[in-house]
Amino acid sequence: MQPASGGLAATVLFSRDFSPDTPKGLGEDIVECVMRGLRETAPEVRLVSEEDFDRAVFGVKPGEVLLRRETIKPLLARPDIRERVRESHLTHLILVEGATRHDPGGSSSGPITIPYVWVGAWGESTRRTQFIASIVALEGTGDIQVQANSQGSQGAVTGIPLPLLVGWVHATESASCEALGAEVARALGAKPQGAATP
Amino acid sequence: MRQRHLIVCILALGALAGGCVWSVPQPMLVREPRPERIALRIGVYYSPEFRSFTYRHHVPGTAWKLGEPSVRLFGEALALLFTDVVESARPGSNEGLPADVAGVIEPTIVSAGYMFPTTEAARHDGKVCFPLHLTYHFTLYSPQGEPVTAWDVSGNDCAPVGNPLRTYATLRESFEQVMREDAFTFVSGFRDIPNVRRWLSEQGIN
Repeated sequence: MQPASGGLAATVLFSRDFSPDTPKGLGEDIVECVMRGLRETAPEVRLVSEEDFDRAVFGVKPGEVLLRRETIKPLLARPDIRERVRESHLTHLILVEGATRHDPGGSSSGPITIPYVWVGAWGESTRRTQFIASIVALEGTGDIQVQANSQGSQGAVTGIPLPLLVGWVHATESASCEALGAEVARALGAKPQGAATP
Repeated sequence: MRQRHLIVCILALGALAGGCVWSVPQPMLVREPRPERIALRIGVYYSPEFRSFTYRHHVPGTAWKLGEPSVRLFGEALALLFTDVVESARPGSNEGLPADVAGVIEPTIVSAGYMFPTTEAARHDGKVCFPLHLTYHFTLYSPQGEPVTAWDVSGNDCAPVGNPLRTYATLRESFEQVMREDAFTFVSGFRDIPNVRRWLSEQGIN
């Protein structure tokens, strides 16, 4: 991908149009950590908010543009939008998605006790999380797909007499996300600073 | 299985703690890709039943107001599709319709709902999600109130469950997504309805 004359400028966003199987909370978390990874490894990449991107490129608010796989290229090919892209000096759109699969074989559970009183139960299952970033060159024709994988565990703690959720642990996401940010920087052609080798 | 029980418990607890939980989705209208605007003045009739349509899920005691946001959504959708939109009285009632109105569209909701995630689906592909659907019915009337044509637009979603504590938010977002996609299908597919195409041709629109 060739950077624009003004350098690299990208937006990182999550849209259920593009990745309907990704929970919104997870999608937003991926956006946050890919941006964090980009800031750390490629500070020369200018990051633009979703709101600014939608306004600059499509002239609408977030949620008012349909970012499906089959709509992105026809939209970017429209002369009025090509002109807006040129004026905005934006170079890339990065769409993230993630999927977590639970492994029933790795499940375990047991009671939680304090002396003489049984107060609840805990459960744990192994899950595998995969993150994907799809990079669209706004003035180009092709996509580059960057992937990162990780595996970890989650636990949910329940208490009695009512099954009240008191704890929910996310443990798998951070490692994949950090790696994805660095891989995105590399794919953009930025010069990563202190990026770990995948 | 454990996650499904957790979700049901959270929904039931929410209902117990707060009585019946009411939620009003706020869908966005897709403006890009935009449709080719039709140079006609169209009327729209929102029946009291449509305006007040509420879907109730009796197990956790939740209610979802879908009519009220649908009125706003289709008001915006029609304004995107036609050069001018006026609200109309019930078609055929002969009450105050401007002379140059080409026709009147009446949207209704014929079906809406969601189900809890099934263990079969989770076993099959490891995906835990809420199957949710919403079907709108549209009737196009002549200015005199005679039906010209009618068609359905139906949308489905299977909102993935991430954190079970976000269950209500996930369902609301899923309704918003389906309403948004239904409105987009209505706008982008309007000219593809055969009888609509014929009606447009009679109005001098190709």
